[in-house]
Amino acid sequence: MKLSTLMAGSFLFMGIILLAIGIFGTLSIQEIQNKYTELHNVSEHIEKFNQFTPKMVKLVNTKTIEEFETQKKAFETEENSFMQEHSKISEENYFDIIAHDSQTDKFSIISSELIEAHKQFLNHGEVLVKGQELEETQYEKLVILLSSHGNDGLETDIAKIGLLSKQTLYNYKNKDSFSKWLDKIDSVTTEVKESDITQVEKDSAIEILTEYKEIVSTYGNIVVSQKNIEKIRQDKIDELILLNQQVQQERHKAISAKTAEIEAIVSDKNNIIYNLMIFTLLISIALGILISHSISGGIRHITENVEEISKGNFNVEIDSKTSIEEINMLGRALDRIMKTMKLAVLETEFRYKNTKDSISPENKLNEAFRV
Amino acid sequence: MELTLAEYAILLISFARIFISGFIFWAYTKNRSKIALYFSAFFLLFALQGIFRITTIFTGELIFYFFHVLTLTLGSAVIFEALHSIGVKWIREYKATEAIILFSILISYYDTFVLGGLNSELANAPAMIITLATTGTALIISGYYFYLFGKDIPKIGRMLIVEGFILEGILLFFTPSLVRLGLVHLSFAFGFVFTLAIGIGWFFSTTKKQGKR
Repeated sequence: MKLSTLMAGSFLFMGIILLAIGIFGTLSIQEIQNKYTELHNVSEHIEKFNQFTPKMVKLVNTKTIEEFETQKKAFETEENSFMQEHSKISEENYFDIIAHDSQTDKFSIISSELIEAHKQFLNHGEVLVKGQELEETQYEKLVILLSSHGNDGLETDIAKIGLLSKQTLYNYKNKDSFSKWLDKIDSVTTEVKESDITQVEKDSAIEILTEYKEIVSTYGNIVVSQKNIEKIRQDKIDELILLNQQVQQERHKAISAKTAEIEAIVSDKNNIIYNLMIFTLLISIALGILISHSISGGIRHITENVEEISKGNFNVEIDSKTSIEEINMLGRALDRIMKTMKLAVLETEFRYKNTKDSISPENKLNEAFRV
Repeated sequence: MELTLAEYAILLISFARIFISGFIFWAYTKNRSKIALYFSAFFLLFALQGIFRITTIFTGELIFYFFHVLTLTLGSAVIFEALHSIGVKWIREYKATEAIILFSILISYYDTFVLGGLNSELANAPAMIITLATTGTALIISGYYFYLFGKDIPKIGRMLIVEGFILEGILLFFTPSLVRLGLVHLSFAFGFVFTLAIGIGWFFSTTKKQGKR
């Protein structure tokens, strides 16, 4: 093999290996970069989702319908935007946790129910305000009519009605107060009928009490219903918060798993690149040893032989048999030179022995006269 | 064209030297000895210097006088090379040949174009002495080495060659004096005799080879 062929082949081989490492490294970096970009996008998306629960809680804490409608509109706009992004991410199939996420749908259902409940709650609230006003007006009429007769028992019972009214309307926790309130209205009605006030006053008082009871019965039911709605609303909020916590936990786990997966990919790619580098190094060393051995082995052989010849031993044969053609050629050429030199030395020795005398000036001069 | 005695002597000696040169060259063709070749060349130059002198006399051209001096002095260089071929080491060691060639060119130029050539020979005796002494010295040294290394040469031949070279050399030292005394023809006559002695000596020294080894 020619040295130039060996060298060119070796460099080409090393070049191909290095090129392969380079391409593999570039593709690996690109792949890892894409994975991290996906993870980043999904993390941001999840963070947006997590923000919906506090926003929903804030929405269901609005006090008026106007405020509720305004915030609801903003919330829905934001939700639509999020859902579009969610669909896109799901389509692109960034991660399984997004593509097959039933929790997002569950969140939407709970949200809808919560919003509906809150809306009903606000509507009831407005009705109750009106009912309260009617109740207060009617109660005042009752107080004015019956307090000027000096009937202490009746006055005390009317005051109890007012107390039960406050307990029922403003303190929903007292569940029995509503029935007590109605009972007390009936008891006061009976008392009025049995009292010594004029018939006209009795009729007026009974009329007021009848209307008052109607008002209380009507709005009292709404109050009871409102209490149930509020309970449902609170349960939904709790459910939503719990769901959000679950989602957060699950997605945190999923992202951690995904991060670990990416890190594993990075580790794998690194290992492959390190192994390729070590392989390249070993190949380089092997090629280096092979080439240097091929070159230096032949040259060493020639040098040793030339060294031997320099000591006067012409019986050495320089015939380097290496895989490098040029060194073999050099060896053969040197061998030919040495053979020629050997002949020349022998001839010179022969001539010197035979013509030693002719070298002297006398003989040289004498030679000039010989014809 | 009428020739003077001196001019006849010059022509005679020149032809004699050409003849000797031819003879030695013939010997060279046989033995391929560099010494023979160099001495053949020397005698040729020695002959040419006479011919150039005659040419100068007849033409009056300075360039011929330049060649006359140059061939005379260059003969010394050729002798030195011949001696070096014999084995005289100091010639190469002191670069005598190179020095004599340079000196020859300079002295030839000086004698010809600075001093004025043939017509100013008498007026410039020191320059003439130096020029002739150069070749004279070379001839004497040559004679010495022929004496030193010519032990294997036949005695008569060796004696004639050695004496011829030495006397020819000495003669060249005295030539300026003879010229000044108007005895140029005598100088050439002696030169002819001594040259002839060398030629005869060379002839007697020449032996046949025993066959190739």
